[in-house]
Amino acid sequence: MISRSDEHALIRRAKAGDGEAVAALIRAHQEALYAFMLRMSGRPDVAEDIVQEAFVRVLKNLDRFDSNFRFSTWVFTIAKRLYVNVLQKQRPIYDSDAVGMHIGLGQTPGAISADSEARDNMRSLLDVALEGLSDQQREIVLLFHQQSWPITEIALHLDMPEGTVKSHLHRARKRMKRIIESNPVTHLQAQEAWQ
Amino acid sequence: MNHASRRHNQSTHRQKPTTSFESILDCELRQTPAAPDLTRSIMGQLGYMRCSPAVVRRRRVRRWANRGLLAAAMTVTMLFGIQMHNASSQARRPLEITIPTAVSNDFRQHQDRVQHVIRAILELPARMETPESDDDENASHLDEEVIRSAVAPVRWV
Repeated sequence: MISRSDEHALIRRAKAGDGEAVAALIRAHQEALYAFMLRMSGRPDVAEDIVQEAFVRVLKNLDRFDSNFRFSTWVFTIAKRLYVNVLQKQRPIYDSDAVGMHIGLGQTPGAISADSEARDNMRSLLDVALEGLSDQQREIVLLFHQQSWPITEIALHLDMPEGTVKSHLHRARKRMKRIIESNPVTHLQAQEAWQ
Repeated sequence: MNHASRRHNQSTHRQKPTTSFESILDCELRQTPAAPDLTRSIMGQLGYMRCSPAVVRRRRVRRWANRGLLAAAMTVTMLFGIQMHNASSQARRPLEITIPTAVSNDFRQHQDRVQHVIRAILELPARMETPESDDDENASHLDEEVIRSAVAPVRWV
């Protein structure tokens, strides 16, 4: 992760038309944004399109960037708007298998063991639980647990009080637990995984 | 640390997970997926990947050649398919008497019939005249016979 001062320097260079700085900005944020959009949409193709379009829009309008905010916050905001547009046209069907496959791609064949099987189970449990959340709850859970954003930043990003973000997060976690525990099979798996 | 400052700290900095479920969420969700590298395509859309005119021309030629090859391949495949289909036993073949031949035959038959009728009509007055002349000849013949026969038994004075 690049520091804020480095990020500002890259943005200045990108504004001046430096291609390397543009590439560096994309490389610094594309993985996080893709991971977030993949979990939000549940579709690798939709996530890829949104990430691409979000970067194009942001980098075309770099002059409008407010240096008081983080670059990542801006890109995530644009990506979220694009995702809302996609939802308005046609809601993508959440493909848990595709998400799981994408996330499991980093594993080497040698790493496949009983431990990795348990992790796969856990991952699929979380996929099912995430799918059961509302779009806003899922966004908050992902920004907090996946992107490690602090509550203040999430509140700013979503334009809501911090207390509301916290209660959304609390309710989302409870709901996820309830979804997992409602199924006897997944409940047993979860109990094993949480030990 | 008092309560207010602790809450502020939790808000501005990422707090440590308090339950096992939260730590699992942290651990599992933070695993980054194998993201595709979109740098080139984004840079291309932004106009950073400009090529020289020679490269552009070469790519255009290659693009058109590919399209031509694809079209030719599709045509050959279609022709081959049609040939194969025609050669197969299941191919539907047209009947020997087709609709155009049936229509032309019918037309010819009608034409013959009409010609026959016309010919018959044209021949009709000639036939009607001949019996009349025949009748006159018969009549004169009869008259002569009457006169001849009348001579013998009865002679008019």
